[in-house]
Amino acid sequence: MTLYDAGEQAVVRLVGVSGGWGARQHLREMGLQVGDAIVILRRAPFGGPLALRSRGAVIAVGRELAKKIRVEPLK
Amino acid sequence: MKIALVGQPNCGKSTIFNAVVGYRSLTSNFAGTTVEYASGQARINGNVIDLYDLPGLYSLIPANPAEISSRDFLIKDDWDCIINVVDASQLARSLELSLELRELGKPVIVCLNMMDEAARKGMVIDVRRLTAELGLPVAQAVASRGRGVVETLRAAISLRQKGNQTLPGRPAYPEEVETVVEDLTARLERNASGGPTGGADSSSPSESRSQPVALLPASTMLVAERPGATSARAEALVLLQSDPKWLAEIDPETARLVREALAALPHGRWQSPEDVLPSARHASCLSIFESTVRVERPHADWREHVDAVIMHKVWGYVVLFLVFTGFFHLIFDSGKLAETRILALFDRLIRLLAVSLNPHGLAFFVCQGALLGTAGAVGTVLPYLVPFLIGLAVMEDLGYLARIGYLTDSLMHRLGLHGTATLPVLLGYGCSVPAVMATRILRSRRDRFVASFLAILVPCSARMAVIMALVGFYLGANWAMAIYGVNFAVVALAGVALARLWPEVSPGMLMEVPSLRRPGVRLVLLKTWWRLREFITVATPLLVAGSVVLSGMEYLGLERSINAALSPVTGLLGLPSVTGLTLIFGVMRKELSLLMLMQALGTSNVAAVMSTGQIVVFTFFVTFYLPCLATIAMMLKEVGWKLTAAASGAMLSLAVAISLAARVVLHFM
Repeated sequence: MTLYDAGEQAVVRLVGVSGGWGARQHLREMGLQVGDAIVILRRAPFGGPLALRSRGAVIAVGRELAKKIRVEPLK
Repeated sequence: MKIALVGQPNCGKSTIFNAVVGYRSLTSNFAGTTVEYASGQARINGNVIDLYDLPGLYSLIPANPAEISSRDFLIKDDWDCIINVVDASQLARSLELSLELRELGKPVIVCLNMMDEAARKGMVIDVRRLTAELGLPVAQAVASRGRGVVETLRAAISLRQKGNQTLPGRPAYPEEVETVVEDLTARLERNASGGPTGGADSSSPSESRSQPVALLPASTMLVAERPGATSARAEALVLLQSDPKWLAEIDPETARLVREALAALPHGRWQSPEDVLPSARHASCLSIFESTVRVERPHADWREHVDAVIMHKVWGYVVLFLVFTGFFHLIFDSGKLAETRILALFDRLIRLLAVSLNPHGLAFFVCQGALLGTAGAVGTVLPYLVPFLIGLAVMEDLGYLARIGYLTDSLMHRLGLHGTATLPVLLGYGCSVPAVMATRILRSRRDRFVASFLAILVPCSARMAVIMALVGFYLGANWAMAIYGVNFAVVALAGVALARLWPEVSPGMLMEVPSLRRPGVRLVLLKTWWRLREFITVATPLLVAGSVVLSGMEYLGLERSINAALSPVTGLLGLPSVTGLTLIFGVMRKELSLLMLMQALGTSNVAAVMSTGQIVVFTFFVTFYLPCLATIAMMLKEVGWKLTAAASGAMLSLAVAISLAARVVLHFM
């Protein structure tokens, strides 16, 4: 499943990014890498971005990018 | 002694800088906004230091133009010491940059800033352990309250004076990765010394191969720029993490070595080789974090509750609407109050002048021109600009701008942009120049162009002054609102059209939402002053000079020939031919067109000479026709002359079309 499919308050683990080097690098800069645990805090309406928390930082991820991020549910 | 402040965006570098150096920098809460570096001198314990505040960067691998400049700077300059400022409450992520800086081979000291915020999050940091794990000296600070700032600088100075005593620290990479890095380092060194020497002219491709280190494309040049300045190891590390696409652009022999090394890197089945180093660093940061930080129960925090409302899917937009309405009311109401008073004062002065001087003499024309110019700057622009800039700085430092980005992302998507671009476009309501500057936070040239085009279409405060003082003042607030409405529709249509013509390829929004912070009065005022300074020092003399020149032309009777030359345009739009000259001045600064209009019409009561239709058409034309000189200069720098010319041409045609449409519609009303 992708990050985009995860519901609000879900706790997931990042398992892969199906994007080019640029997308992976950008995610890395925000401190998001394969294996990280992510909490989805809230989603903006009208197909807007997701706000998630990873390692204490809140990050907004646009829907297109969220569809490229593969995650698996934790717990 | 040259000391650089380096750190991730929003870590408080600029706060430290301001605490030491003073009024020469600005701080920002929106990821990546500190695009220009600031520098200044300070005296600490009798040592004179040159302190540099570099733009925030997340890692040493370049990803966008703002970061490239700071990287080049970081590598090219001979730093005596680097202070790595770290947001202690974001320690896990921030340490990745620290590990990269450690590899530069320069004295580095880590400054744990925002210790108060870390404490609020329940984080207990074992600083002694962290020092040992990183192999770097660690200082602590709460820069927003001025705590620990001088101590950090003292530690940096003494680190420099003692020489760089590197402690071992925890290795960033596991042994099998380290072997590959060392092997590549040795090969790069051998490759460099084996080639012919003295090839200093890097402009010719055959010569560039003899450079001691590999040449990445200019934008990604990290250590190649000054061979020998940084170790071959740093070079090897960059090459192993860069986009593999770049390998096609560097010296083939180096590329071959890098490919071999990449193949030798132990990587998992689903992992690309160039991801090995970053993910190893990521993992060792996590271990460092886990062995040095104990997380207790976080203190109850109002921020969570506020965020639950202002980022809410319904209430968030209600708050956003209220904030926007309140913000613009504040600007317009306070602006208008000040404007009428100040302009009345200048009006009295001019009448006084007409009595005391010969109203047909040169002296009167020159003085009148100078007074009208000053009135334009002080009376028409500053009353709106000052509250706007203060409000913007407050929203920025509060962290609200990032929330606006989050809330408006889906709307901006329809304009072919994403939420990160809301800031530049909003800034456009203040002044196009900083707005175009702010597009640097966007990653692709396409996004930067689209955002700057929309930002310059939006009426800046100077054009707002024209709209308010002309349409608002003579025809009423509803007419002014209508102009804004039409403008908004045009911006939206332009965005949709551009999204069709030049589809979006960027991956979409990804930005940090910094935690809400109470804005500091001092920083807000510094930032306002910093932005205002450009207007006062550059635009005001220009306004006064332009006004005097026009007055002089009037005295000499030169304006007639210029107006005649422009009569096809003014005639087409049904405007009085005397408005021709004002349009030329409007390109210098938009608000000049208003002053020049009053000047050219010979009255400050425009409604007596121009009809409602003419006022509306004139305002539309001035709003859209061309960006001002300063904006054009900034766009040339950011997107190149072709796109600047395209944007200017598009605006000119838009202006003619909209003004003509307005003329026709008003004719039948």
